[in-house]
Amino acid sequence: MKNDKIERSVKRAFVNAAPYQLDKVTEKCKEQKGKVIPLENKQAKKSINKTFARIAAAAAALLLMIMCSYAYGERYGVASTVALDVNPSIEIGVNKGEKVVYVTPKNEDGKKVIGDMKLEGSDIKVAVNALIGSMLREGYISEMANSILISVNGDDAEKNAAMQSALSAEVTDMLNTGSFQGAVLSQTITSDPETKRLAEEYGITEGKAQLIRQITENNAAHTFEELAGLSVNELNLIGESGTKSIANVTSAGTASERAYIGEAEAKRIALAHAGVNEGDIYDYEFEMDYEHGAMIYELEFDCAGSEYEYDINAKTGEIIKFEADRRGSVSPSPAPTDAPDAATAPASTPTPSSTPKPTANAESGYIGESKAKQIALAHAGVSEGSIREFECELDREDGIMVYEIDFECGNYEYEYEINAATGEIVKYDIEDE
Amino acid sequence: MLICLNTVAPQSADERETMERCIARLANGDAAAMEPLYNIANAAVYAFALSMLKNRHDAEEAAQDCFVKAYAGAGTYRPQGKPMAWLIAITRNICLDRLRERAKHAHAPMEDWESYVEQAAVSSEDRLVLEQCMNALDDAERQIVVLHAVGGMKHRETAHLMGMTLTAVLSKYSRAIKKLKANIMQTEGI
Repeated sequence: MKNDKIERSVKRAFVNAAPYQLDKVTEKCKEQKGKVIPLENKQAKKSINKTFARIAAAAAALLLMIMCSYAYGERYGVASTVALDVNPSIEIGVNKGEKVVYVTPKNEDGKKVIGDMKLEGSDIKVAVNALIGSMLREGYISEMANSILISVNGDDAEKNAAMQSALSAEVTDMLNTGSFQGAVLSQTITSDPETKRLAEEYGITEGKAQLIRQITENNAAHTFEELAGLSVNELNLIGESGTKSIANVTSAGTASERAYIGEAEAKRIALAHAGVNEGDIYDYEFEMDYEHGAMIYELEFDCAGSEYEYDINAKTGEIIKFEADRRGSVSPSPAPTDAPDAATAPASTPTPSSTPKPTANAESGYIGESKAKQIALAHAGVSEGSIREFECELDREDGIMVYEIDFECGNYEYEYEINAATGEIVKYDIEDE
Repeated sequence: MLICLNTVAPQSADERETMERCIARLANGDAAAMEPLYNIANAAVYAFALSMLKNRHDAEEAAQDCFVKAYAGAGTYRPQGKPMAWLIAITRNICLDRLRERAKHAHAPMEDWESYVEQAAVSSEDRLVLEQCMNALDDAERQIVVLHAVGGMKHRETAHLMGMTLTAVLSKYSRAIKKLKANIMQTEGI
């Protein structure tokens, strides 16, 4: 029985076992459409007591928030706050008449941008204009990093939205009159204790904290901590690359990639390393991300039935990670039909993952599986009779053909990569089970 | 109604495009697009939910919820040729929620996948394969096999979804297929 037959059997079994529930799905979708807030089943199942308790708690919290914000507003006259984040982070308190009550730097760069400007009492648009002007002069916003985040926070949702849109248009106009195009992200935010705590802990504005939280929610591979130190341009690049758009953030313009080598160069590096031609690749995908402590280009493509994945440092062009499943190109010939299964097996084109491993006979120029096994066992100092779960595969790793050998002996798991042409041990790993 | 495809993986470009068109239509409020999307993805979504929850009733509900959430969230999908990965990610979140709920209430429903036998469409051969997938494979192996064989997902998509390296996914996949092959051949007396 061949691998592709196993795969087909698995598919058929699950397809046959899957219940057809389209009617129920359609019904649930209709129900959901009628609700203002989509409810999940588990919420619906909560007991009435719990629901009342939650409503009461929420009402109490809301009352407390109203009281606090009222007291705060009375004392300082602040109706809303506007946060500007580039890498400098600055928070501006604004009263009901949209005049600036205070300007607070949230980090060292923010201090530098504010300098000795006295913006209290001026119109919010004038203040934002002055601060953006200073950021341009200081080189914080440039063609290399052109993104800015504007976050408006306040009690009056309608007013917040109007201010967000007015400031976003103002800043976009201002940046676009220069020699490059700006990228303006804007959002209205509502105070959330967790966002506030994170903002304080990492010395950023609540607006930036909310943006980072949304990126980490969209992509679980990121943590808040690793993204907190990034500039808004870097966050914008990561956000643009994600598979899900960032909810509630309005984006105008495109984040600059001028500080990096660019997609074309990254692609050239990957293709050269893989030793394949651009014309032969398919299912090419490209993403910018932050991994291994650096901005990276993630490139993925298929060629001759094999899957390739590269992480390339976006600034230096260094290949940080490379993975390839080269099984398809190792043995391009179709699998012979398995006699016992011939009657039931549907005719199929062999897929990359189902292509059989090459046997020693087919490996002209290679040392052969048994020789490779002998080398590994000799190195491990174990006898053939004492090993279990022996596996051997011919694969390409980092540009050379290797035998990948796995086996277990005693309480240890052994992994070897042996150069298929020379018999040299390229890599080995022994792990305690 | 259900069609067995001859090739198992990867999912064809046509199918991906159809799914993306359906998601775009759902985003525009065209509920009729649910049927073609459901027909393509249901088996994979259900199989993946079952492989995580190991309970037929829970998996059925999770699969329904996945499509309902996809309908509600269709507007957030960015067409990048990975519609199945998107649906599976939604399913995974639903299942993780359910597993957390189970842990909180310290009740784990019976692993009752055996009740498939009641279904007319499930042959004895299917049952044997399901048995081996559910019993002989560990959770990660089962999920990886299901995503590739049933969902037609590329190994690297699986690696992204599960936060594993491509090498780790390939190695688990190959180990799982070997186990299935050995066990099925043994049971069939081959």
